[in-house]
Amino acid sequence: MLMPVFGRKMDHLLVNVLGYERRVGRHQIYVLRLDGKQAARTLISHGVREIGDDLMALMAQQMGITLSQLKRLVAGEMSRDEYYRLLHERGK
Amino acid sequence: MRTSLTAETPPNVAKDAPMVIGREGGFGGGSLFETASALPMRQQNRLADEARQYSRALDRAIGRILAPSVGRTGDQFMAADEVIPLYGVGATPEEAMIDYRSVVVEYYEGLEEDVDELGQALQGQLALLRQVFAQVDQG
Repeated sequence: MLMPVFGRKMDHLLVNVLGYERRVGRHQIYVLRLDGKQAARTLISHGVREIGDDLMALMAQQMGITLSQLKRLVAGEMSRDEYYRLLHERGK
Repeated sequence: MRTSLTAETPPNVAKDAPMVIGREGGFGGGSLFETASALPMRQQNRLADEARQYSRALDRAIGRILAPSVGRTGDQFMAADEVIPLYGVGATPEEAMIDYRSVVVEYYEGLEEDVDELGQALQGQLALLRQVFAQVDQG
């Protein structure tokens, strides 16, 4: 089982690895643009201390992938290109 | 001789401060709290009542359309819907719902700002959230 992921690690994955744009308001909202269109959005709520499986499953859904695929991204077992290909396959 | 209010900087305001007395009929910026707390008490109470009414209407619309539920996540509570999905967290179920409501508002406003560049999935989310806020506006 994967240990809980902290917000900072998820932020790094989203921004530095996957190319999401971070928008900081009360919450942190992340926007991914592909081919000139916004393909996905996800967020880390203001109140989040750590990201367990249930919360990560929601984020995965927002990102257009499954929980196991997001865990592979977190573990560095899936590349950005693979992620983008998955989104394209799903019509994002 | 009387001096125009706009001609002098008040003694407690720096000359380069953004506040300009009299411009646009007000006394410059400041947070919503600062602005409200400087009003007569009756006005403050009326604004607070309106804010509470709006929040209740928003909660009802959210409940009808997004139907969030609250559960535990680690040592916190999480309110989440299965429609978009959005979530909020807090130390109590009530705090989680308040956080969730603020997420719904911020997420919706962000989508509206970017309406012209949303992909299909995000357009669908925006359509759903517009229903929520349309219900609030209808009372």
